[in-house]
Amino acid sequence: MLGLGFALFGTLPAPSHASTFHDPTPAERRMAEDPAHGITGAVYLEKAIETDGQNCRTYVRAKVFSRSGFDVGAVEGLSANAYDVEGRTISPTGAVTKLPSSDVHTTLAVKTRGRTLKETSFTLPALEPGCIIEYSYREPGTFGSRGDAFVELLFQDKYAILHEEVRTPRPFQYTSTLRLQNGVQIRNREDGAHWVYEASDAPAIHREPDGLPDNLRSASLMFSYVYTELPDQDPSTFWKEAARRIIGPFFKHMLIRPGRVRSRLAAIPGAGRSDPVARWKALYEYVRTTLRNRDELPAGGTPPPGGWKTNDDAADTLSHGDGTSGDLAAVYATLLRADGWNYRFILATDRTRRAFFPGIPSLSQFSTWLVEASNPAAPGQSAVVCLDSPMLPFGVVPWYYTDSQALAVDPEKGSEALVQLKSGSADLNAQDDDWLIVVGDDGSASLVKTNRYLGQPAIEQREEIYTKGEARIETEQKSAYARGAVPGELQSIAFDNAADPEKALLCHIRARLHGMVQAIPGGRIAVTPLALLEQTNPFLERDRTEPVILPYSFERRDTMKIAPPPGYTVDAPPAPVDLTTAAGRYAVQAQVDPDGGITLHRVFRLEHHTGPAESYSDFRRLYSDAAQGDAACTVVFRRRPSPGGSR
Amino acid sequence: MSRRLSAATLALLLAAAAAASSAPDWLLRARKTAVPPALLATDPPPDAVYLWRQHIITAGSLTGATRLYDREALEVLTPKGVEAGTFSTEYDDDSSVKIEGAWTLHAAGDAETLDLPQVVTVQVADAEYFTDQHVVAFRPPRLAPGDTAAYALWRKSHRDVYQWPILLQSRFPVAAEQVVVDLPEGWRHTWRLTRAPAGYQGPLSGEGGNKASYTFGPQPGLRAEESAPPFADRAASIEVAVVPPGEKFAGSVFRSWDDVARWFWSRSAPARTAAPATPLAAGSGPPAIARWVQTGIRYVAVEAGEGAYVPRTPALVAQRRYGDCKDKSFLLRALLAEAGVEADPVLTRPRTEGAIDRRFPSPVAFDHVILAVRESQASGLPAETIVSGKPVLLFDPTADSVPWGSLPAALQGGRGLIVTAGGGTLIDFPWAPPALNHYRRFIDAHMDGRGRLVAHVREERHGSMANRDSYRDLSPSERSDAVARRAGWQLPGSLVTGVAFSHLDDIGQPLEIRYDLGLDRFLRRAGSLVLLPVLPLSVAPGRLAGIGTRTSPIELGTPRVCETTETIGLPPGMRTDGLPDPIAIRNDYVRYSFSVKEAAGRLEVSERYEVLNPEIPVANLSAWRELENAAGTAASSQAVLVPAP
Repeated sequence: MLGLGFALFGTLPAPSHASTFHDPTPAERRMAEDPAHGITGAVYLEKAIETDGQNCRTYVRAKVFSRSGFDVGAVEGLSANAYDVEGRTISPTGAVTKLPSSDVHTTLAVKTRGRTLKETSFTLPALEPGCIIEYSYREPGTFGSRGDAFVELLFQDKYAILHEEVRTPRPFQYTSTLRLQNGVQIRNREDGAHWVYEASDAPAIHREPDGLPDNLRSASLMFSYVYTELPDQDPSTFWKEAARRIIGPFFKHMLIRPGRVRSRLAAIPGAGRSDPVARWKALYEYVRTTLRNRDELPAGGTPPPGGWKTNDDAADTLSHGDGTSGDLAAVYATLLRADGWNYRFILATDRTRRAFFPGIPSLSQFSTWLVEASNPAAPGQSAVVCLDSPMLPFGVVPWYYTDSQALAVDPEKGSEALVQLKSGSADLNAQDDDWLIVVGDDGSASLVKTNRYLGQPAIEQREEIYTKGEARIETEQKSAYARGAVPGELQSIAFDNAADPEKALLCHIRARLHGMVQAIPGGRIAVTPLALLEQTNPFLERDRTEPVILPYSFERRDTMKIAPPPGYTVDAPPAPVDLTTAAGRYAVQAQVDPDGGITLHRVFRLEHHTGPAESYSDFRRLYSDAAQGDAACTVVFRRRPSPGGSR
Repeated sequence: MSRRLSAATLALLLAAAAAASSAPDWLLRARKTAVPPALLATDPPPDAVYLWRQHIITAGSLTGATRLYDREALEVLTPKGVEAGTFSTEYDDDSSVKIEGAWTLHAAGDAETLDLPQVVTVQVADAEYFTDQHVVAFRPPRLAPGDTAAYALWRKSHRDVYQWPILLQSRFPVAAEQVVVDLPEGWRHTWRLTRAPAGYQGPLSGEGGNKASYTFGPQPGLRAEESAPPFADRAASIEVAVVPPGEKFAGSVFRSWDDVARWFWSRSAPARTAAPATPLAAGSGPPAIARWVQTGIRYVAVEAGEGAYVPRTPALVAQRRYGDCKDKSFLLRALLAEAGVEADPVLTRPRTEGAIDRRFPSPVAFDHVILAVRESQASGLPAETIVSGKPVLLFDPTADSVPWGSLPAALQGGRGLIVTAGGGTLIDFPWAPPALNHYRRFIDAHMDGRGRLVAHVREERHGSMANRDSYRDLSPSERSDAVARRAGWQLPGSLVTGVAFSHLDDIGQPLEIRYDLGLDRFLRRAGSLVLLPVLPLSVAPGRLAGIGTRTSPIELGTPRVCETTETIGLPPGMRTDGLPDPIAIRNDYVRYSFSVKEAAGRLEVSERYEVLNPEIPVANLSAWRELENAAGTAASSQAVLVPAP
């Protein structure tokens, strides 16, 4: 992304230091599954990675306890140039079965546009509970198929690892960084001409819903390639040098001189306003609406015949009328600069995949760049925009770039700063749903509903409409209504402001619902209308070891008016509910209407979208209570007394 | 940016470069095909329509190699329909594919040609399932609603047999299509329609010479529907068998099931060898031998070249301790032979892939091998059938959760070809009686003073209802999660603890799952009323979407019985003021009942769902509605509670 080239390595002799296969020890033979300590399925007895800077050797030894651990014997995704592949399985009785070279397969991962990507894979023979497997292979490249510029070597896996060792040359063209967690200690030592990193007794990674990505859950060792342009690998000075020598000049190259956009700037509606924010917004709207975003095409959108043209700088982007989100960001920065504002690029990381660690001197840690506009005359007045999608409103950044560290670079000054983009509060990410449910004599009901989305929910909905098209959304919604908790037929769905991200997104739905009413003994009828929301609880486990990380804080407010069948009136409204935990609030209030119907007011507010493992019970209770509360919210109707009669 | 890079990898790969061009004549003609309005007047309307499809079957008189030409022109009607313009084909080590061209004919009349290097090829392979099958995918350039996407390709094969089933219907409507036979002089062909295509009045089978053309008029699209029969069974197909002159290329011609059996018999000769050494104890009986092959030999398929249909030697399979279905079957065959029991391979395929057409003998009908074990006398086991007056027991050594004496659910009711030295016998596989596929759920519950449901649940699963494959390869915590998720789906917000499995690996016993379940606010209070849902966990099937416009039968699955037996202790100080009415329905396909009674301060609830017949025809969908209504009413039933005097 930043235009940096990688060193290419030839195939040279493999590292001389290599483990050789060795027979299991009596202790290893006796080793058994130990669920209490998280040792189930299989255990890695030893993992070793050794590189000489040009070739890499991998050696693995594991014990299989049960069928569920057989997957340790299936090895995939190796370089097609992997060589010296060897393996064997030692049965519980000591019989050895070798991996024949004919059982090492090369597969075509993909072939297109004149390029072919192949992979090597194999599976160990003679697997059975109690066996021990060993395999090793070599691959060209410093770290083989694991990458080259920035490599994360995880010291934890699906199964526990009793010993893991990584061996590199000394000195080495990479810097290393350790992420220590889960009690795993990765020790570093010199061994002659090598650096050695090793760890013992690393527990299996425990996967939990709504938490960190796997690579961040694991203790790991990260290597960053040291570019000759940036020899200084001291994290305290690396980013300063990177901003001054690499990143800043790269961005400046993408921009064009103010004089080249002066006339264009003058023609932009709203760009002449006195309010700085209004001017920034006008410039953003210009870029968003006049330049096609190649990274996010509308439903049915396709690239032009002959493919996209190359954009070397903002002038190309303006000339071609389209560009990647990075190209569009460069145009926006050009316009800001020409209009006299300060600007910075913010290199951000998608937190669902990885994190940016300033302590790691690697430029390969970022997912996108954002643009910050600021007023030189009013320190503190600023706004950050994201051009990843044409459906983003001014000054709003998608949630996955927030709440993690980012790097701001000022190309004009060649300076840099660490920043953190804060996610919005629950009030900013709101969904208001108004429901009118009219129950008929036959127990079915008509539904008229309007959803109003603001903030992140609006962004998500709007992007879906943009990329899928309204017709496809309608098809999906038809299917969803047909199989809903209260099944029915969607009759119509329509959107307001779908293409205007500055306004609240409105969705209007009409549907027919069946089986809305349950007859209960005594001639009454009951409805459980909040079941329509299909609130679920993602947190099923009693305990948790990792932090809870949900996308963003939000508040959903539902106002649901239910009109009973003719001749019926509310007999018993549901009892009010108001539950608050440290994670948020769930509340339901009922109001009997003068016309015999009832209106329910429901609020679900996720006040905090992240929390440490210790706060798990707060999240669990909130979601569990909401799911239970919705299911239990029952409205009972009875027949109105007829004039002169008794019920 | 990287976020979208990965999410749209295929879209980017298929975002093809193009060159302006003129469309081929056949495409220009296809574009003018009149589409009957009725084809498009469906709910929902189709996203695309095939204007023209053509399949041409040829063969080389000297080499016997076949070429199949395909031409298709598809009009995109909606943005979603653009996805239908992604075409694919495949080849393997013995065949090749040539894409002659792919075009977009825009609504305005201008055409673009796909730049062929943009075609994407991937191999279907991983470490444990390695095949030589390559999938080739491509999309004509810049497709948009109103455009016509088209391609022409041929597939050449040196290993094909001379039988081709060709589907005449798709999920999108087809306005017109043609199947052409273009063979060398002296060759002949036979053909058969699996069912009459829409509007077709002619014969359903026939014979022809070396050249023929079969055209078909508009065919409706077959949309995906839940619990529907396999697509191949819903669509009209034409089956074409090519007959070279004399005995030429006899290895590729199959006139009868005996021919198919002889072909496999000769191909499998290397695997019909003596039994290898195994860890089995001397004197082990057939059930023990079979169990060892099921569990001791890991399923790993290496299906490249002849490996796709030639089994490996039992010695090699035993040494590797892995193999695919045919490898396992021939190993078991050898081991049984050593124990004095004869068994024959049976070629088959799961029922979910479509029924095997009795009148179209061909190896292409099969993708799975099991065994028919010859019995000295009838055993009465559910997988037993009679062949030529003698009992044989069908057994699948690949299905490691299915015990000796039973067939996997996906094979019950299917067909298979028993292969012997003398020829083949196509047989129907038996269904197991419903009582053997039995699911029982016992719930012992009570309400505490705060309205919380506290329940102990025990599930007892027999036969195909054991569903062991869903749990066995999971870790203990993953198993607990799976049970909790299942309960949470029916009872949102419930907490499941103490999950314990019994007999997970002992397939001779019913699988048992026990757990405790808690749910706050289970008791519903509305004003002075207190309502108690009486059936928190139902065993009835879920609703099906779009039943009002359904066009296909409903597959109910294997005949089975599912039961709930539940007792709920009433909350302290409460008694019932009214109980839900009992429900009982029965029709030709299902039986369902539900009842509640009170005894000694407890509610006793029973629910029973039985599948009597595995399929409800379209004409009798009311039988399903009857079940849905009954089960829906039962699931939402509530007892009214009042304070006890």
